[in-house]
Amino acid sequence: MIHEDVVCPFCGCLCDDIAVTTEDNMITDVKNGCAISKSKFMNHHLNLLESALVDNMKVSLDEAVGRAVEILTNADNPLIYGLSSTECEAQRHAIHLAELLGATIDQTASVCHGPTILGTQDAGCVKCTLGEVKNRADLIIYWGCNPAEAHIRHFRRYSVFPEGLFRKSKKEREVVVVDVRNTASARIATTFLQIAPGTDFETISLMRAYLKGKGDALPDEFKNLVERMKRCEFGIMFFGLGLTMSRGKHLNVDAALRLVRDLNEYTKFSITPMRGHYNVAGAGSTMAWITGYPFAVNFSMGYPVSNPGEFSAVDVLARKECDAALIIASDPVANFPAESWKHLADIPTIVMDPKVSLTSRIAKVSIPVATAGIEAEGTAYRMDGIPLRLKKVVDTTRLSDAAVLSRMIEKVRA
Amino acid sequence: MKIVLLSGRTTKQGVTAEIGKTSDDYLQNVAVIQLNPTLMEQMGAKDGDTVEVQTAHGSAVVMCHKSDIGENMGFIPYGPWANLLIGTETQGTGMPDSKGVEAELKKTDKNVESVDELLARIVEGRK
Ligand code: SF4
Repeated sequence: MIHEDVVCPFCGCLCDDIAVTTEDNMITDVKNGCAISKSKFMNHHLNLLESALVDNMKVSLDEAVGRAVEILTNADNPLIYGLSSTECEAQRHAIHLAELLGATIDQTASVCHGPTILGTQDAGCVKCTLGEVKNRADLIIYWGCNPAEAHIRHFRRYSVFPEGLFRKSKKEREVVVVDVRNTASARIATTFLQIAPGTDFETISLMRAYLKGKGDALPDEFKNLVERMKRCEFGIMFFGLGLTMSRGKHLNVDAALRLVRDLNEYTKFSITPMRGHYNVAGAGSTMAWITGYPFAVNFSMGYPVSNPGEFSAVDVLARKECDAALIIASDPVANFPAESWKHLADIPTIVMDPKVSLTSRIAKVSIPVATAGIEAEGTAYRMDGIPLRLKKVVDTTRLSDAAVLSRMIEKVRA
Repeated sequence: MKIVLLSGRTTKQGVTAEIGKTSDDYLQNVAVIQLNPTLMEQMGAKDGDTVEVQTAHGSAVVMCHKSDIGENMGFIPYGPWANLLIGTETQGTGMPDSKGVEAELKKTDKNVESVDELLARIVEGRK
Protein backbone atom coordinates (compact mmCIF):
# COMPACT_ATOMS: atom_id res chain seq x y z
CA MET A 1 0.00 0.00 0.00
CA ILE A 2 1.30 3.47 -0.84
CA HIS A 3 0.54 6.32 1.56
CA GLU A 4 0.76 9.60 -0.36
CA ASP A 5 1.46 13.08 1.02
CA VAL A 6 2.78 11.84 4.32
CA VAL A 7 4.35 14.53 6.52
CA CYS A 8 7.97 13.76 7.46
CA PRO A 9 8.36 13.79 11.25
CA PHE A 10 12.03 14.74 11.43
CA CYS A 11 12.92 18.40 10.90
CA GLY A 12 11.15 21.75 10.94
CA CYS A 13 10.69 21.68 7.14
CA LEU A 14 7.87 19.22 7.78
CA CYS A 15 7.87 18.16 4.10
CA ASP A 16 4.33 16.98 3.33
CA ASP A 17 4.93 15.14 0.07
CA ILE A 18 6.50 11.90 1.29
CA ALA A 19 5.23 8.66 -0.29
CA VAL A 20 5.58 5.72 2.08
CA THR A 21 5.04 2.17 0.87
CA THR A 22 3.99 -0.43 3.44
CA GLU A 23 3.67 -4.20 3.14
CA ASP A 24 2.43 -6.40 6.00
CA ASN A 25 2.63 -3.44 8.36
CA MET A 26 6.31 -2.82 7.50
CA ILE A 27 7.65 0.23 5.69
CA THR A 28 9.34 -1.05 2.55
CA ASP A 29 10.00 2.15 0.61
CA VAL A 30 10.12 5.91 1.07
CA LYS A 31 9.98 8.33 -1.85
CA ASN A 32 10.69 12.07 -1.94
CA GLY A 33 12.22 12.15 1.56
CA CYS A 34 15.84 13.21 2.11
CA ALA A 35 18.47 10.80 3.48
CA ILE A 36 17.53 11.55 7.09
CA SER A 37 13.81 11.16 6.43
CA LYS A 38 14.43 7.80 4.74
CA SER A 39 16.53 6.71 7.69
CA LYS A 40 13.81 7.73 10.14
CA PHE A 41 11.02 5.88 8.31
CA MET A 42 13.03 2.80 7.32
CA ASN A 43 14.76 2.35 10.68
CA HIS A 44 11.91 3.31 12.99
CA HIS A 45 11.65 -0.33 14.15
CA LEU A 46 15.36 -0.67 15.04
CA ASN A 47 16.78 -0.25 18.55
CA LEU A 48 13.31 -0.06 20.03
CA LEU A 49 12.62 -0.04 23.72
CA GLU A 50 11.29 -3.60 23.68
CA SER A 51 9.39 -3.43 26.92
CA ALA A 52 8.52 -1.14 29.77
CA LEU A 53 11.34 -1.19 32.32
CA VAL A 54 11.68 -0.29 35.98
CA ASP A 55 15.24 -0.53 37.31
CA ASN A 56 16.12 -2.37 34.08
CA MET A 57 13.60 -5.14 34.87
CA LYS A 58 10.81 -5.82 32.38
CA VAL A 59 7.40 -4.85 33.73
CA SER A 60 3.95 -4.34 32.27
CA LEU A 61 3.06 -0.94 30.85
CA ASP A 62 0.59 -0.42 33.68
CA GLU A 63 3.23 -1.08 36.31
CA ALA A 64 5.66 1.30 34.63
CA VAL A 65 3.04 4.04 34.38
CA GLY A 66 2.06 3.41 38.01
CA ARG A 67 5.68 3.65 39.15
CA ALA A 68 6.20 6.80 37.10
CA VAL A 69 3.17 8.46 38.67
CA GLU A 70 4.32 7.43 42.14
CA ILE A 71 7.73 9.02 41.50
CA LEU A 72 6.24 12.20 40.08
CA THR A 73 3.62 12.70 42.78
CA ASN A 74 6.14 12.03 45.56
CA ALA A 75 8.62 14.54 44.15
CA ASP A 76 8.74 18.10 45.48
CA ASN A 77 9.92 19.65 42.27
CA PRO A 78 9.59 17.35 39.26
CA LEU A 79 10.87 18.41 35.83
CA ILE A 80 9.04 17.54 32.61
CA TYR A 81 11.21 18.04 29.56
CA GLY A 82 11.28 17.31 25.83
CA LEU A 83 8.12 17.55 23.68
CA SER A 84 9.56 18.69 20.36
CA SER A 85 9.56 15.27 18.66
CA THR A 86 5.98 14.43 19.42
CA GLU A 87 2.63 15.87 18.38
CA CYS A 88 0.62 18.71 19.90
CA GLU A 89 -1.98 16.54 21.65
CA ALA A 90 0.79 14.86 23.67
CA GLN A 91 2.31 18.27 24.38
CA ARG A 92 -1.04 19.48 25.68
CA HIS A 93 -1.30 16.49 28.04
CA ALA A 94 2.27 16.99 29.25
CA ILE A 95 1.48 20.59 30.18
CA HIS A 96 -1.69 19.50 31.95
CA LEU A 97 0.32 16.92 33.89
CA ALA A 98 2.86 19.59 34.85
CA GLU A 99 0.06 21.78 36.14
CA LEU A 100 -1.42 18.97 38.24
CA LEU A 101 2.02 18.13 39.67
CA GLY A 102 3.12 21.72 40.25
CA ALA A 103 6.11 20.80 38.08
CA THR A 104 8.62 22.69 35.97
CA ILE A 105 8.08 22.08 32.27
CA ASP A 106 10.52 22.95 29.52
CA GLN A 107 10.84 21.99 25.88
CA THR A 108 13.88 21.50 23.69
CA ALA A 109 13.75 25.04 22.29
CA SER A 110 15.62 26.03 25.41
CA VAL A 111 18.75 24.44 23.88
CA CYS A 112 18.09 25.45 20.25
CA HIS A 113 15.93 28.46 19.42
CA GLY A 114 15.12 29.52 23.01
CA PRO A 115 17.21 32.67 22.44
CA THR A 116 15.12 33.27 19.29
CA ILE A 117 11.99 33.28 21.44
CA LEU A 118 13.66 35.72 23.87
CA GLY A 119 14.76 37.95 21.00
CA THR A 120 11.27 37.86 19.50
CA GLN A 121 9.65 38.79 22.81
CA ASP A 122 11.93 41.80 22.81
CA ALA A 123 11.92 42.95 19.21
CA GLY A 124 8.96 41.30 17.46
CA CYS A 125 9.33 39.37 14.24
CA VAL A 126 8.37 40.15 10.67
CA LYS A 127 7.05 36.80 9.52
CA CYS A 128 5.89 35.11 6.37
CA THR A 129 5.16 31.55 5.28
CA LEU A 130 7.53 29.31 3.36
CA GLY A 131 4.94 29.39 0.55
CA GLU A 132 5.41 33.15 0.24
CA VAL A 133 9.19 32.64 0.15
CA LYS A 134 8.87 30.09 -2.63
CA ASN A 135 6.55 32.28 -4.70
CA ARG A 136 8.06 35.69 -4.11
CA ALA A 137 11.53 35.88 -2.58
CA ASP A 138 14.28 37.20 -4.85
CA LEU A 139 16.90 37.59 -2.12
CA ILE A 140 17.41 34.69 0.28
CA ILE A 141 19.89 34.96 3.12
CA TYR A 142 20.91 32.00 5.27
CA TRP A 143 22.75 33.21 8.38
CA GLY A 144 24.44 30.78 10.76
CA CYS A 145 22.66 27.71 9.46
CA ASN A 146 23.53 24.81 7.20
CA PRO A 147 20.37 23.49 5.55
CA ALA A 148 22.39 21.31 3.17
CA GLU A 149 23.06 19.05 6.17
CA ALA A 150 20.30 19.88 8.66
CA HIS A 151 17.21 20.83 6.60
CA ILE A 152 18.15 19.02 3.46
CA ARG A 153 15.11 19.78 1.28
CA HIS A 154 14.75 23.40 2.37
CA PHE A 155 16.52 24.73 -0.75
CA ARG A 156 14.57 22.49 -3.08
CA ARG A 157 11.09 22.88 -1.65
CA TYR A 158 10.93 26.38 -0.25
CA SER A 159 13.67 28.75 -1.28
CA VAL A 160 16.38 28.35 -3.92
CA PHE A 161 15.20 25.87 -6.54
CA PRO A 162 11.39 25.49 -6.62
CA GLU A 163 9.16 26.85 -9.36
CA GLY A 164 7.16 29.56 -7.61
CA LEU A 165 4.45 31.88 -8.85
CA PHE A 166 6.74 34.86 -9.48
CA ARG A 167 10.22 33.25 -9.21
CA LYS A 168 10.68 30.31 -11.47
CA SER A 169 14.15 28.98 -10.66
CA LYS A 170 17.47 29.67 -8.98
CA LYS A 171 18.32 32.08 -11.83
CA GLU A 172 15.68 34.50 -10.55
CA ARG A 173 16.90 34.41 -6.97
CA GLU A 174 20.00 35.58 -5.21
CA VAL A 175 21.22 33.35 -2.41
CA VAL A 176 23.61 34.60 0.28
CA VAL A 177 25.13 32.45 3.01
CA VAL A 178 26.81 34.06 6.02
CA ASP A 179 28.67 31.64 8.28
CA VAL A 180 31.82 31.11 10.29
CA ARG A 181 32.79 28.14 8.15
CA ASN A 182 32.57 27.19 4.53
CA THR A 183 29.68 24.73 4.66
CA ALA A 184 27.96 22.59 2.05
CA SER A 185 25.25 25.29 2.02
CA ALA A 186 27.83 28.00 1.26
CA ARG A 187 28.69 26.15 -1.93
CA ILE A 188 25.10 26.51 -3.19
CA ALA A 189 25.03 30.25 -2.52
CA THR A 190 25.65 32.96 -5.11
CA THR A 191 27.55 34.86 -2.42
CA PHE A 192 29.29 33.41 0.64
CA LEU A 193 30.40 35.82 3.35
CA GLN A 194 32.59 34.41 6.11
CA ILE A 195 32.72 36.01 9.54
CA ALA A 196 34.83 35.21 12.60
CA PRO A 197 33.14 33.12 15.33
CA GLY A 198 31.36 35.30 17.88
CA THR A 199 31.08 38.38 15.64
CA ASP A 200 27.46 38.00 14.51
CA PHE A 201 26.16 40.69 16.84
CA GLU A 202 28.64 43.34 15.79
CA THR A 203 28.25 42.52 12.09
CA ILE A 204 24.45 42.70 12.18
CA SER A 205 24.48 45.81 14.37
CA LEU A 206 26.87 47.53 11.98
CA MET A 207 24.63 46.55 9.07
CA ARG A 208 21.76 48.19 10.90
CA ALA A 209 23.83 51.29 11.57
CA TYR A 210 24.85 51.43 7.90
CA LEU A 211 21.19 51.19 6.93
CA LYS A 212 20.68 54.33 9.03
CA GLY A 213 23.66 56.02 7.39
CA LYS A 214 26.19 55.48 10.19
CA GLY A 215 28.01 52.19 9.63
CA ASP A 216 31.35 53.32 8.18
CA ALA A 217 33.18 50.52 9.97
CA LEU A 218 31.14 47.88 8.14
CA PRO A 219 33.29 45.85 5.70
CA ASP A 220 32.55 46.61 2.04
CA GLU A 221 31.08 43.23 1.19
CA PHE A 222 28.49 43.70 3.91
CA LYS A 223 27.76 47.29 2.78
CA ASN A 224 27.11 45.78 -0.59
CA LEU A 225 24.82 43.17 0.99
CA VAL A 226 22.79 45.85 2.79
CA GLU A 227 22.37 47.71 -0.51
CA ARG A 228 21.11 44.53 -2.14
CA MET A 229 18.77 43.92 0.79
CA LYS A 230 17.30 47.40 0.32
CA ARG A 231 16.90 46.90 -3.41
CA CYS A 232 15.30 43.46 -3.51
CA GLU A 233 11.56 43.04 -4.02
CA PHE A 234 10.99 40.40 -1.37
CA GLY A 235 13.80 39.43 0.97
CA ILE A 236 13.98 36.66 3.52
CA MET A 237 16.56 35.91 6.18
CA PHE A 238 16.69 32.36 7.52
CA PHE A 239 18.86 31.93 10.59
CA GLY A 240 20.02 29.02 12.67
CA LEU A 241 21.87 28.04 15.79
CA GLY A 242 24.90 30.00 14.61
CA LEU A 243 23.11 32.98 16.12
CA THR A 244 21.43 31.34 19.11
CA MET A 245 24.29 29.18 20.41
CA SER A 246 27.13 31.67 19.99
CA ARG A 247 28.19 34.46 22.29
CA GLY A 248 25.41 37.04 22.46
CA LYS A 249 22.66 34.44 21.93
CA HIS A 250 19.29 36.27 22.12
CA LEU A 251 21.05 39.59 21.49
CA ASN A 252 22.29 38.25 18.15
CA VAL A 253 18.73 37.31 17.24
CA ASP A 254 17.40 40.58 18.56
CA ALA A 255 19.80 42.46 16.27
CA ALA A 256 18.77 40.38 13.25
CA LEU A 257 15.05 40.85 13.96
CA ARG A 258 15.53 44.62 14.23
CA LEU A 259 17.61 44.77 11.05
CA VAL A 260 14.82 43.02 9.16
CA ARG A 261 12.18 45.26 10.72
CA ASP A 262 14.15 48.35 9.65
CA LEU A 263 14.54 47.01 6.11
CA ASN A 264 10.77 47.16 5.74
CA GLU A 265 11.11 50.92 5.40
CA TYR A 266 12.65 50.15 2.00
CA THR A 267 11.12 46.88 0.83
CA LYS A 268 9.34 43.73 1.97
CA PHE A 269 11.69 41.68 4.16
CA SER A 270 10.91 38.77 6.50
CA ILE A 271 12.84 36.53 8.86
CA THR A 272 12.34 32.88 9.85
CA PRO A 273 14.26 30.71 12.31
CA MET A 274 15.34 27.31 10.95
CA ARG A 275 13.60 25.23 13.60
CA GLY A 276 15.28 21.87 14.13
CA HIS A 277 13.02 19.18 15.57
CA TYR A 278 9.88 18.70 13.51
CA ASN A 279 7.44 19.94 16.15
CA VAL A 280 9.56 22.26 18.27
CA ALA A 281 7.56 25.15 16.83
CA GLY A 282 4.42 23.31 17.98
CA ALA A 283 5.86 22.81 21.47
CA GLY A 284 6.31 26.59 21.76
CA SER A 285 2.85 27.33 20.37
CA THR A 286 1.11 24.73 22.54
CA MET A 287 2.88 25.91 25.68
CA ALA A 288 2.14 29.53 24.81
CA TRP A 289 -1.58 29.03 24.19
CA ILE A 290 -2.03 27.02 27.38
CA THR A 291 0.33 28.70 29.84
CA GLY A 292 1.04 32.04 28.23
CA TYR A 293 4.74 31.19 27.89
CA PRO A 294 6.57 29.20 25.22
CA PHE A 295 9.22 27.49 27.41
CA ALA A 296 10.80 27.29 30.88
CA VAL A 297 7.54 27.31 32.85
CA ASN A 298 7.02 26.45 36.52
CA PHE A 299 3.69 25.56 38.15
CA SER A 300 4.78 25.32 41.80
CA MET A 301 2.76 28.41 42.73
CA GLY A 302 -0.37 26.85 41.24
CA TYR A 303 -0.20 29.14 38.22
CA PRO A 304 2.34 29.33 35.40
CA VAL A 305 5.49 31.40 35.89
CA SER A 306 8.19 31.52 33.21
CA ASN A 307 11.82 32.43 33.65
CA PRO A 308 14.49 31.13 31.26
CA GLY A 309 17.72 30.63 33.19
CA GLU A 310 15.67 29.64 36.24
CA PHE A 311 13.14 27.13 34.91
CA SER A 312 15.03 26.01 31.78
CA ALA A 313 16.07 22.36 31.95
CA VAL A 314 19.87 22.74 31.73
CA ASP A 315 19.83 25.24 34.60
CA VAL A 316 17.42 23.22 36.73
CA LEU A 317 19.66 20.16 36.31
CA ALA A 318 22.92 22.04 36.81
CA ARG A 319 21.62 23.51 40.07
CA LYS A 320 20.20 20.11 41.06
CA GLU A 321 16.80 21.67 41.73
CA CYS A 322 14.55 18.90 40.46
CA ASP A 323 14.09 15.65 42.38
CA ALA A 324 12.48 13.65 39.56
CA ALA A 325 12.33 14.01 35.78
CA LEU A 326 9.94 12.91 33.05
CA ILE A 327 11.59 13.04 29.64
CA ILE A 328 9.21 12.90 26.66
CA ALA A 329 10.40 12.42 23.07
CA SER A 330 13.85 13.83 23.71
CA ASP A 331 17.32 12.68 24.70
CA PRO A 332 18.98 15.17 27.05
CA VAL A 333 21.93 12.87 27.74
CA ALA A 334 22.84 13.11 24.05
CA ASN A 335 22.08 16.82 23.84
CA PHE A 336 22.89 18.49 27.16
CA PRO A 337 26.30 19.38 28.60
CA ALA A 338 27.76 16.28 30.27
CA GLU A 339 27.67 17.86 33.74
CA SER A 340 23.87 17.87 33.65
CA TRP A 341 23.71 14.10 32.93
CA LYS A 342 24.88 13.50 36.49
CA HIS A 343 21.79 14.88 38.13
CA LEU A 344 19.52 12.97 35.73
CA ALA A 345 21.29 9.81 36.92
CA ASP A 346 21.04 10.84 40.59
CA ILE A 347 17.28 11.37 40.58
CA PRO A 348 14.56 8.97 39.41
CA THR A 349 14.27 9.73 35.70
CA ILE A 350 11.37 8.47 33.61
CA VAL A 351 11.77 8.25 29.84
CA MET A 352 8.98 7.95 27.26
CA ASP A 353 10.52 7.09 23.91
CA PRO A 354 9.98 4.64 21.05
CA LYS A 355 13.71 3.86 21.00
CA VAL A 356 16.54 3.13 23.36
CA SER A 357 18.14 6.52 23.95
CA LEU A 358 21.16 7.56 25.98
CA THR A 359 18.76 8.98 28.56
CA SER A 360 16.83 5.69 28.73
CA ARG A 361 20.17 4.03 29.53
CA ILE A 362 20.36 5.91 32.80
CA ALA A 363 16.61 6.07 33.51
CA LYS A 364 14.80 4.39 36.39
CA VAL A 365 11.60 3.92 34.38
CA SER A 366 11.41 3.51 30.60
CA ILE A 367 8.07 3.52 28.79
CA PRO A 368 7.99 2.51 25.12
CA VAL A 369 5.59 4.54 22.99
CA ALA A 370 4.44 4.70 19.37
CA THR A 371 6.50 6.89 17.03
CA ALA A 372 4.43 10.00 16.31
CA GLY A 373 4.06 10.60 12.58
CA ILE A 374 4.69 6.95 11.72
CA GLU A 375 2.70 4.88 14.22
CA ALA A 376 0.48 7.63 15.64
CA GLU A 377 -1.20 10.65 14.08
CA GLY A 378 -1.35 14.18 15.39
CA THR A 379 -0.59 17.80 14.58
CA ALA A 380 2.81 19.42 14.15
CA TYR A 381 3.86 23.00 13.37
CA ARG A 382 6.28 23.78 10.56
CA MET A 383 9.14 26.23 11.16
CA ASP A 384 7.00 29.07 9.79
CA GLY A 385 4.14 28.25 12.18
CA ILE A 386 1.92 26.37 9.72
CA PRO A 387 0.19 23.37 11.38
CA LEU A 388 0.15 20.13 9.40
CA ARG A 389 -1.42 16.76 10.13
CA LEU A 390 0.94 13.86 10.81
CA LYS A 391 -0.23 10.49 9.52
CA LYS A 392 -0.13 6.99 10.89
CA VAL A 393 1.28 4.61 8.28
CA VAL A 394 1.82 1.43 10.32
CA ASP A 395 -0.05 -0.07 13.25
CA THR A 396 1.48 -0.80 16.62
CA THR A 397 0.34 -2.19 19.94
CA ARG A 398 2.26 0.58 21.71
CA LEU A 399 0.30 3.51 23.02
CA SER A 400 0.94 7.01 21.71
CA ASP A 401 2.63 9.63 23.89
CA ALA A 402 -0.76 11.29 24.30
CA ALA A 403 -2.40 8.04 25.48
CA VAL A 404 0.36 7.28 28.02
CA LEU A 405 0.24 10.85 29.34
CA SER A 406 -3.53 10.78 29.72
CA ARG A 407 -3.20 7.53 31.72
CA MET A 408 -0.73 9.31 33.97
CA ILE A 409 -3.11 12.22 34.39
CA GLU A 410 -5.95 9.83 35.32
CA LYS A 411 -3.76 8.16 37.93
CA VAL A 412 -2.56 11.47 39.39
CA ARG A 413 -6.17 12.57 39.73
CA ALA A 414 -7.39 9.25 41.17
CA MET B 1 47.17 23.57 19.64
CA LYS B 2 44.47 26.14 20.46
CA ILE B 3 41.23 26.15 18.49
CA VAL B 4 37.71 27.54 18.64
CA LEU B 5 35.22 24.71 18.85
CA LEU B 6 32.08 24.70 16.73
CA SER B 7 29.30 22.14 16.78
CA GLY B 8 26.35 21.52 14.51
CA ARG B 9 24.29 19.07 12.55
CA THR B 10 25.56 16.82 9.82
CA THR B 11 23.51 14.61 7.51
CA LYS B 12 25.37 11.51 8.69
CA GLN B 13 24.72 12.40 12.31
CA GLY B 14 20.99 12.67 11.55
CA VAL B 15 20.90 9.46 9.53
CA THR B 16 22.83 7.38 12.07
CA ALA B 17 20.99 8.78 15.12
CA GLU B 18 17.81 7.39 13.53
CA ILE B 19 19.45 3.96 13.34
CA GLY B 20 20.32 4.22 17.01
CA LYS B 21 22.60 6.28 19.22
CA THR B 22 24.23 3.16 20.61
CA SER B 23 25.13 1.95 17.09
CA ASP B 24 28.69 1.88 15.81
CA ASP B 25 27.57 3.94 12.78
CA TYR B 26 26.60 6.76 15.13
CA LEU B 27 29.94 6.65 16.94
CA GLN B 28 31.87 6.63 13.65
CA ASN B 29 30.03 9.75 12.46
CA VAL B 30 29.57 11.74 15.65
CA ALA B 31 32.71 11.06 17.73
CA VAL B 32 34.70 13.04 15.16
CA ILE B 33 36.25 16.45 14.73
CA GLN B 34 36.69 18.19 11.39
CA LEU B 35 39.98 20.04 11.15
CA ASN B 36 41.93 22.04 8.64
CA PRO B 37 44.55 19.85 6.86
CA THR B 38 47.35 22.33 7.68
CA LEU B 39 46.53 22.14 11.37
CA MET B 40 46.45 18.35 11.19
CA GLU B 41 49.85 18.34 9.52
CA GLN B 42 51.28 20.58 12.24
CA MET B 43 49.97 18.14 14.83
CA GLY B 44 51.29 15.17 12.90
CA ALA B 45 47.80 13.69 12.68
CA LYS B 46 46.41 11.77 9.71
CA ASP B 47 42.78 11.37 8.72
CA GLY B 48 41.19 8.91 11.16
CA ASP B 49 43.77 9.40 13.94
CA THR B 50 42.47 10.14 17.41
CA VAL B 51 42.90 13.50 19.05
CA GLU B 52 42.11 14.66 22.56
CA VAL B 53 40.10 17.85 22.85
CA GLN B 54 40.22 19.65 26.18
CA THR B 55 38.15 22.63 27.28
CA ALA B 56 37.53 24.30 30.63
CA HIS B 57 34.56 21.95 31.02
CA GLY B 58 35.90 18.53 30.09
CA SER B 59 37.72 16.44 27.54
CA ALA B 60 36.83 14.07 24.72
CA VAL B 61 38.79 11.73 22.49
CA VAL B 62 37.51 11.83 18.90
CA MET B 63 38.69 10.88 15.42
CA CYS B 64 39.92 13.72 13.24
CA HIS B 65 38.92 14.25 9.63
CA LYS B 66 40.17 16.76 7.08
CA SER B 67 37.81 19.50 6.04
CA ASP B 68 38.05 22.98 4.54
CA ILE B 69 37.27 24.62 7.87
CA GLY B 70 39.43 27.55 9.05
CA GLU B 71 42.83 26.75 10.58
CA ASN B 72 41.90 27.96 14.06
CA MET B 73 38.66 26.00 14.28
CA GLY B 74 37.36 22.51 14.89
CA PHE B 75 33.86 21.20 14.18
CA ILE B 76 32.22 18.37 16.15
CA PRO B 77 28.70 17.17 15.27
CA TYR B 78 26.06 17.49 18.00
CA GLY B 79 26.04 14.49 20.30
CA PRO B 80 27.41 13.23 23.59
CA TRP B 81 31.07 13.73 22.63
CA ALA B 82 30.56 17.42 21.79
CA ASN B 83 28.64 17.77 25.04
CA LEU B 84 31.61 16.57 27.09
CA LEU B 85 33.24 19.84 26.12
CA ILE B 86 30.64 22.46 26.97
CA GLY B 87 29.55 23.85 30.32
CA THR B 88 26.14 24.33 31.91
CA GLU B 89 26.33 28.12 32.34
CA THR B 90 23.53 29.71 30.31
CA GLN B 91 23.78 33.38 31.36
CA GLY B 92 20.11 33.32 32.26
CA THR B 93 18.92 32.19 28.82
CA GLY B 94 18.59 28.41 29.24
CA MET B 95 21.09 27.94 26.40
CA PRO B 96 24.63 26.74 27.16
CA ASP B 97 27.56 28.12 25.12
CA SER B 98 27.48 25.35 22.54
CA LYS B 99 29.42 27.14 19.83
CA GLY B 100 32.61 29.14 20.06
CA VAL B 101 34.21 27.40 23.06
CA GLU B 102 38.02 27.61 23.27
CA ALA B 103 39.74 24.24 23.23
CA GLU B 104 43.20 22.71 23.36
CA LEU B 105 43.92 19.96 20.89
CA LYS B 106 46.56 17.24 20.93
CA LYS B 107 47.22 13.97 19.17
CA THR B 108 46.68 10.93 21.36
CA ASP B 109 46.94 7.15 21.36
CA LYS B 110 43.78 6.85 23.44
CA ASN B 111 40.74 5.22 21.88
CA VAL B 112 37.42 6.92 21.30
CA GLU B 113 35.16 6.08 24.23
CA SER B 114 31.96 4.21 23.33
CA VAL B 115 28.61 5.52 24.50
CA ASP B 116 28.67 2.98 27.34
CA GLU B 117 32.16 4.02 28.41
CA LEU B 118 31.12 7.67 28.36
CA LEU B 119 28.07 7.01 30.46
CA ALA B 120 30.12 4.89 32.87
CA ARG B 121 32.72 7.65 33.23
CA ILE B 122 30.25 10.47 33.81
CA VAL B 123 27.48 8.81 35.77
CA GLU B 124 29.31 5.84 37.31
CA GLY B 125 28.06 4.81 40.72
CA ARG B 126 25.17 7.25 40.49
CA LYS B 127 22.43 5.27 38.87
S1 SF4 C 1 14.04 18.12 4.87
FE1 SF4 C 1 13.38 17.60 6.96
S2 SF4 C 1 11.15 17.34 6.83
FE2 SF4 C 1 11.96 17.31 4.72
S3 SF4 C 1 12.27 15.14 4.27
FE3 SF4 C 1 14.23 15.89 5.09
S4 SF4 C 1 14.15 15.52 7.29
FE4 SF4 C 1 12.06 15.33 6.51
